[in-house]
Amino acid sequence: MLTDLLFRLRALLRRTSAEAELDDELRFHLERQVDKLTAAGLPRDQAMRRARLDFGGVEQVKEDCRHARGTRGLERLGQDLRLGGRLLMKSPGFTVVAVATLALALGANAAIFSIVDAVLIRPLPYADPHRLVWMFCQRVDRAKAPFSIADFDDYRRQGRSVQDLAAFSTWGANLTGEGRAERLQGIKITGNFLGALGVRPVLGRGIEPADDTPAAAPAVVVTYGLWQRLLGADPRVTGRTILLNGRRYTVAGVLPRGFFFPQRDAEIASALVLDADPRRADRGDRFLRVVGRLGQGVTAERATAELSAISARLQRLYPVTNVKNTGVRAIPMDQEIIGNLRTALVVLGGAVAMVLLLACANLGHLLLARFSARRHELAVRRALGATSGGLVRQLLAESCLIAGAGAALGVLFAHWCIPLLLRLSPEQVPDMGAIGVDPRVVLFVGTISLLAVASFGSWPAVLAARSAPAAAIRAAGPSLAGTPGARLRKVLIGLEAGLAVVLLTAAGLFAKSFARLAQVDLGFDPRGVLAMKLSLPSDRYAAPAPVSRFAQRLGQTLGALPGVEAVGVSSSLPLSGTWAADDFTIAGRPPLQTSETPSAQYRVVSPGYFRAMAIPLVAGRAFGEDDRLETRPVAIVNQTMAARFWPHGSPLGARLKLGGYAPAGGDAEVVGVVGDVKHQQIDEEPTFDVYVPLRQVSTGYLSYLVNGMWWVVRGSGEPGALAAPVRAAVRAADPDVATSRMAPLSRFAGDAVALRRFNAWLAGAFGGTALLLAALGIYGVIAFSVAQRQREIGLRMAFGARPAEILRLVIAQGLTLAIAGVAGGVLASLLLTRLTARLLYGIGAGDAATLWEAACILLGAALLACWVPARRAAGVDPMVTLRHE
Amino acid sequence: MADPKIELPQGTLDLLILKILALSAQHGWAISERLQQISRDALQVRQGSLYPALHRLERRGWIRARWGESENNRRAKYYELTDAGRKQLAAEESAWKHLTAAVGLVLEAG
Repeated sequence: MLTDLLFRLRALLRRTSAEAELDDELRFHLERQVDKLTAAGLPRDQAMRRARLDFGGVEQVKEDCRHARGTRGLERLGQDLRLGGRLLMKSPGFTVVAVATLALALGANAAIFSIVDAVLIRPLPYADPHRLVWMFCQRVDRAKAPFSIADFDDYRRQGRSVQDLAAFSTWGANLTGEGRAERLQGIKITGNFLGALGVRPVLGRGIEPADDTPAAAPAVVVTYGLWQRLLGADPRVTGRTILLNGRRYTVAGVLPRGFFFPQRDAEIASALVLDADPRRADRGDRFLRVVGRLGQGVTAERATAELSAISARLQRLYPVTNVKNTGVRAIPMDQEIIGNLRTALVVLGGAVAMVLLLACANLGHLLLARFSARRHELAVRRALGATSGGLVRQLLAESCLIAGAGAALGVLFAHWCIPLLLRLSPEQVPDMGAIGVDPRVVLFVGTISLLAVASFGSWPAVLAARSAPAAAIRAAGPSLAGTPGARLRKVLIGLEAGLAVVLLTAAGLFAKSFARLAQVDLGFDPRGVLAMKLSLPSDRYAAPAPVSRFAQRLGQTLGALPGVEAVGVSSSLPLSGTWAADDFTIAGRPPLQTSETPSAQYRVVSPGYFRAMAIPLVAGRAFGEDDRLETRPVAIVNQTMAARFWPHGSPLGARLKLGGYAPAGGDAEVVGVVGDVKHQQIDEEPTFDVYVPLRQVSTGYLSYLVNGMWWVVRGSGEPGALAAPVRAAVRAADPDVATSRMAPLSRFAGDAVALRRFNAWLAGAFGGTALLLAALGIYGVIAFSVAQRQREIGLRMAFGARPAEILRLVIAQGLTLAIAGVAGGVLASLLLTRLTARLLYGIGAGDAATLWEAACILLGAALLACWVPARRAAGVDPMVTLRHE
Repeated sequence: MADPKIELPQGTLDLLILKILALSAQHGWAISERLQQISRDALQVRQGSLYPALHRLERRGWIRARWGESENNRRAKYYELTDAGRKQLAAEESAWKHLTAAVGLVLEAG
C-alpha cells in the first residue's frame, strides 16, 4: 500500500522524464519490430505500417500506461484546477463576488467562534475544573450571599459531599514605596485555597496552611501579570519584601501564566488567618466567598441538598443571625461563568448560522447561474468527446478553487476581526493577546466552505453536464421555456428575504433596547464630573477622626481648584460595581419578624455629595458641617423609601435604627429626602437608600470606607482637564493614599450600558450584513432571470409591450417572492420571541413597529435590487435581441 | 495459418510476463517476441497491451526496471523480477494449476 503510494508520488514528480522514457520505450519497440519485418523482406514503409497496426494505437497505449502508473487521476486534477483557475480569472465579477461572500460569512463565523471558545468555553486554569463548585448562601433577599466565619467553619466540619472547602475575601492593598502608590485588587485566602484549586506556582511557593496562622510572617503570592508589570519579571523575586497598606509582606511565589483567581480581577493573594480575625465572633458578619471540590461520584445537586440540610440545622441553632438563610447552593464553577451568557451564546449562534445560510444561498445561486449559462459551452465539449464525469469533475474543481480562496480569505478576515471585536467587548477578557484564530476553527471553516461549495456546485454541474448535447447546441441560446432550477431560484429569494427580515428585526430590537436604556434617568447628572477611588493606608486611618480630617483637607484643596463647582465623597459610587447594604427598623413601629426586616442601600457621604452629583433634594435638608461625631446622628432617605414607609406623611423627624452599621450615637433622625439613584444596573428596580454623614460613620464600616473612598469633583469644563490637578492635590494631602479608577463619571454610566451597546452593535452588524447579502442575492437572481428571458422580452416588446409594462413585469416577479419571504420571516421572528426576550430592555420581542420597519427596509432593498435589472430589461431594443439568434 | 488465436484474459498476461522474466531480464520487445515464440503463435496479444501490463507490474513492485544497452547498441528499458515478484509468480502458478485441474475435472465429469 505504502510502496504503491510512494511509487505514484515519485511518478508524479518525475512526470516529464517519465513521459520521455515512455516515448523512448515504445519507439524502441516499434523500431525493433520494423527491423524484424524488413529483415523478413517487407519494404520499409509497409513494415512501418504493419508494425504500427500490430502494435495498436500508440497514443492509446501511452494513455493506458499512464493509467497503469496511477498518476492519471492526480494529473487530471492538476489539469482541471489549472483550467478552472483560468476560467475563473476570465469572469472576475463572478469570482470576486463568490469569494467575497464566502470569505465574509466564514470569517465572521471563525472570529466569533474563536472568541467564544477562548473566553467562555476555555477550561478554567484549575486541576479537574469540572469538580470545582462555588458555594453560595441563599438568603431571603439575595441568591448568592457570602458566608460568615462561624458558618464556614461549621460547613467545613460537617459537610461530607464537598471537600477541600476553601474561602477567600476581597482585599484591596495599596502598594507603596519607591515613590509610588498603586491600588491593587487582591484576595485573602485560606491556607488550603491554592491546593483546592490544584494550582502550583511557577516560581517559589504558594500560600500554604503554615502561612494561615497568626504567628506566620506576612506573605503574598502574585499573578504572572502582576509580576511582569510591577515586579519587573525578576526571576529572583521570591524573598523580596513589598509594602502593602504600610505593612511588609514577603513575596512567596509567582503563579503560572494564564492563571486567574475565581475573582478574576485579583492579582495578589495573602493569608486570611481566620483564627485571628475579630469577625469570628459575629456569625452574622458575612464576607467570605467559598469554593470547594465535589467528592467522588457526588453531583452538585446532591451537594446542594446536603449543604442545605446543614444550613437548616444552623438556622435552628442560631435563629438570630441565620434567620434569613434559606439554604446553600453548590454551583459548578464552569457553569457559573457560562450560565450567565448562555442565552446570548444561543442567540449569537443562531444569528451566525443565519448569515452563513444566506451566504450559502447566494453562493449556490451564483454557481447555478454560472453553470446554467455555460450549458452551451459544456454541450459543445461533450460533443467533442468529453465524458460527463470529466465535465462534472472539472466544474467541481472550479468550485473547490472558490471554496479554497474563500476559506483562506475568511481566515485572514477573522484574524483581522478578532482584535476589533475584543476591544469593543464589554467584558474584561483576561489574556487578550493570546486569542487568535483557533486551528480547530480553521479546520471547521475549511470543511464548511468545501461542503457548501461542493454541494451547491455539484448539483448544477451534474445538471449542466447531463443535458443532451445535440439539443443544447441546436438551441443557439437559452431556450424560451423555463431554465433548470427556476423553482430553486424562487425558493432562494424567499429564503434570503425571510432570513434578512429576522436578522433586521433583531437588530432593530437590540438597537431600540440600547436606546431606551441609554435614556433612563440615572438619578444623577454625570456631565462634567470626574470620579476617583482613593484607598487610605489602614494603619494610619483606623479611627473616624483622621479620616474626617483628611476628607476636610482634601475637600478644601479640591474645592479651591479653578473650575471646580462642587466636591463630594461617598463610600460607594453608583454604577461602579461597589455597594453596601444594611438592615434597618423604624422606631415606634410594631416589631417585625427578623426574617422580614427590610434592608436598604447604605452610603456614607460628605455634605457636598448630593450637590456634586446633582441628586435632587426633595424634602428637608442635606448634611452640613454641624453634623459631627459628637452631635445627634442623622440620616437621609430616598423617595422610594419615603413613599413605601411613610405613604401618608413625611419621614422627616422619624428615627431609624440601623443594623450592622449603626452610628455610635444611637438611632439616626431622618433629616432629608433625596431622589432615587441607579446603583448597580441601569435597568434595576428602585431600591431603599439610607445615607449617613461621613463624620458619623460607624466604626464597623470604617475599614470599608478607608479601603475605598469615592470622590466626585464637578467642574465647569471637561472632567479630563481636572485629572492632573486632582491627582496632585491628593498626593499633597497624603502621598501614601492610592488613586485608582479615575475617570469621568459618564464613563461609569457608559460602562453600565456597555453590554447592551455591544449587543446593539453586533446585532446591527449582522442585520446589515444580512441585508446586503439578501439584496445582492435578489439582484443576482433577477438579473440572471432577465438575461435568460431576453428573447421573451424582445418578443413582447416587438408585439407592442411598452417599457413600463416590462419594468412592472420584472419587478412584480421579484417583489412577490420577496413579500412571501418577508411574511415567512415575520412569522419566524415571532416564533423566536422566547429566545431574545431576556436580552431586551423596555421593548417586547414581538414589537409590531420593529417588525414592520424591518419588513419595509427589506422590501425597499428588494425593490432596488429588482429595479436595476428591470430597467435594463425595459431598455432592451427588441430588434437587437431577436436578431441575436 | 488460420489457427484460431486465443484471446488472453488480463490477469494471465501478468502471470506470463512474470514467468518469462523469471529466467532473465528482458526489454518489452523481447518479452513480446518470446510470448509469441513459446506459445507457437497461438496466443494473440496486442503488442501494445504489453506495456500497460509491464508498468502495472512495476507499480506493484513485482518487477523493476532499468535502462541499459540492447543487443543492437540502442538504449532499452529492461525489466527484471524482484523477490516479491518471485513469490507472486510461485503463488499465481500454483493457483493457476489448481484452477485448470479443477475446471478439467468438471469438464470431464460433465
